[in-house]
Amino acid sequence: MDDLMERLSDVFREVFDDEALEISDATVAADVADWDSLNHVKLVVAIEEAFAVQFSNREIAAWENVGDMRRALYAKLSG
Amino acid sequence: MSDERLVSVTSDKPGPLERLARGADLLAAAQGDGAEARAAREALVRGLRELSRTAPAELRAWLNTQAGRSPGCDWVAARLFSALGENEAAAKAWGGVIEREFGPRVERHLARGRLRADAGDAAGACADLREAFREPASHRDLERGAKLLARLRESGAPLPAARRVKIALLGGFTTQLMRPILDVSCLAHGIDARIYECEYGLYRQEVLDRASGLHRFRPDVVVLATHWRDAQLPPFVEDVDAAVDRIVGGLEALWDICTGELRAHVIQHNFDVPTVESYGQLSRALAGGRARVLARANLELLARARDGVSILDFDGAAAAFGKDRWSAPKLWYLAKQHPAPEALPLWVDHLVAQLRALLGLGKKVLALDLDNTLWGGVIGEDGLDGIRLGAHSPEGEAHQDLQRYARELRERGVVLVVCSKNNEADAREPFEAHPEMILRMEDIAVFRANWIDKASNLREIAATLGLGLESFVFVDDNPTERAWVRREIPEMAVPEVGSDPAAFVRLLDRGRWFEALALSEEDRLRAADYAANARRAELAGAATSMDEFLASLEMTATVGAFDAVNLPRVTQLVNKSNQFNLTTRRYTQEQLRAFAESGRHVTRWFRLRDRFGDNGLVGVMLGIVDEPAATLEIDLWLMSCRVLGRRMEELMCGTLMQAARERGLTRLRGRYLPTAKNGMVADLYPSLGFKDCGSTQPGETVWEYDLSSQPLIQCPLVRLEECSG
Repeated sequence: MDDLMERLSDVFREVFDDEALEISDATVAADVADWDSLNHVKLVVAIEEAFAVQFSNREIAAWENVGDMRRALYAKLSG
Repeated sequence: MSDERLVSVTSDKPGPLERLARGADLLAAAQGDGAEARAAREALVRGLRELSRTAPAELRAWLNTQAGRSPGCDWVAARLFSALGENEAAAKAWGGVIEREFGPRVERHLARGRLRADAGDAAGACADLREAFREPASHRDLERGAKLLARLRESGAPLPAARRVKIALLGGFTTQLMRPILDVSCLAHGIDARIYECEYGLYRQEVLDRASGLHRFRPDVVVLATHWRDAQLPPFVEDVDAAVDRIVGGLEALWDICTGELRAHVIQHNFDVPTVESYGQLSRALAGGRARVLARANLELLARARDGVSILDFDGAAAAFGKDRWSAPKLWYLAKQHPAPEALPLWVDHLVAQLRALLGLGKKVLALDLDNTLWGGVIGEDGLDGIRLGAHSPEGEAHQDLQRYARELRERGVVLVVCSKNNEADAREPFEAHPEMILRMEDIAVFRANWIDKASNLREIAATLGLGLESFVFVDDNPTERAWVRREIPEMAVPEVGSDPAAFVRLLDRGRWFEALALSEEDRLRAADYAANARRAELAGAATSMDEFLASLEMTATVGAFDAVNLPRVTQLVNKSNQFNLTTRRYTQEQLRAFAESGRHVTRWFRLRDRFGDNGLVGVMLGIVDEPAATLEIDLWLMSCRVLGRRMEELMCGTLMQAARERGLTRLRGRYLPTAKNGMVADLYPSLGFKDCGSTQPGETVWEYDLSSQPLIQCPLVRLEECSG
């Protein structure tokens, strides 16, 4: 579980080009500079590629914070 | 399974020191360059990263013990030093990785590029970007490169580029993901692009509204990135002509404004015909089917394109990528993104190829290796009958197809040159006599087959043609040669063609090096012009240019009598040399040692160094003193083929003459004993001025040089460093 969060954090660091970025379950878009709709798309693409999963647009629309993303990811990976 | 081991680093809440100790074990086990080792190292970095916050001092101390031990350790150290914010230590660790060429090349070069950018070295960072993207890369890597480029642009430093151009990107879909990839790909190919992007879908308005951002931007190039949805076709139309006219006519109106008022070149995308159609195969079979109408529109685009407008085959790019994966409907719905992100690099490659052609940066010369590139096998060893070429074998047919591709390039104006490590006579043979050769001597503008290193040869070829090295593409099956040329001549394109001939044509073609926007009669004649000029240059300056070239190699030879240190290598050469070997006499190490110790023999070994490296021990001579006849008879004279063409023969002969003189001898006698392999030295003695003095054995020739009446042979191009004994 820890490793999943760390891997997810790595994806965030990559997309936002910030090695020092720290995220948690409570993080929302407003908390991260540059987290606009373009970067959201890049994030989705990057997560799907990094973890070899696919999310539907409906699932994506349901995410409200990073915790939602992590739990969705965990579900895909274990299911 | 790396996750299990990782658990040992993170779970049970061990203290930092224990975690680091376990980490050291993991790292020691994950040293290789393969995918598994890489994954293990990535996992390790993730596991230990937290210590950069919770136990930085312990982490730093541990990293200091790991850094420098191996490239794998350096890699881990670099990442964790970065997490600690210790940029200098990270830079040093990356240096270790780069020097040993460890891990993916893109990663290494981007890491160093970032460090250079941070240090203010914009030119160096750009060089790293060019190196990183020599070969097609993933959209992920290109995005990373684009971030580095963005940092460089922010710094305001001038970026080295062959051309600067203003490009307007007008898309019928979102171009925001593609734009940074275009930016960095352009730079990697020498184009500093300033890019203007309009809001997606508003391309028509941007052009028609004279007060738009596009008009204020005053672009040099307008890229109309439309796609099949922009044609707004129902699955079936009644009046095909009207539909095609509407679609193409509408775009033509935009071209008129762009070329007329904006004086910009237009790159118009054609329509990528979708594969998902409710009409199924009827979409093509019916004249009014959407697929058919789009195909007709694409032809009409080509027909109506005029000066200042070129068509980019978006449909072709989609087909090459694979239309199923190209379309990505989910991302279209989410963000009007088209095509799929994975397809962006291929599309951008097509676009950059057209931009290069437009800006005069297309390549002009294809330089080809011979052995295992244009034919299977080594001509010098396998002979004309042994090389594999022709449709009767898979290997032979693959090589033939590469020749065919090269000849087709030549027919449209690309200059072909040969750069091979071979005896020239051997290298020419297939061109002159092999029935399956597609390329002939007259197709080759400059033919260089010798034993000099390829970078030097390529420079000389470029000088002969009067063309820049950056206009060359070099194809060679040998990874060492490729690496050598890439290092020595970074501006030359050296595609990674691998060593399987079946892939050569595709991998060469993929680079789109010779993309052109038009074909003129002039182009088709150009290759012949260059060939003619090259011949003229060769005839006019043959001696001087070769001499200058040899002088530029800064060759230094060392010579000595057989001694304990050199005897093993001397023995090896004596027993192994077949081609440059006058008498092909074989001796054991003991016999050679005896010659060295006898007073009645003159022994010499020769080493040769030049600007590019040390060739090691390359020549051996043995002379027998014949006091009554005041003659030194050359019993052994052999040389490594690696240094043919450097005029080492003159140096060797001159050295022996000097030795003879010092002993008061007045004549040098040499024998040539012909074998199946040493034909190349049949005329060596006469070429040096020796006179024929008849022979006693059939086939053998005997020659003499009179030191009392003929001059000592000198070799000014090779510096003689020391002569011991």
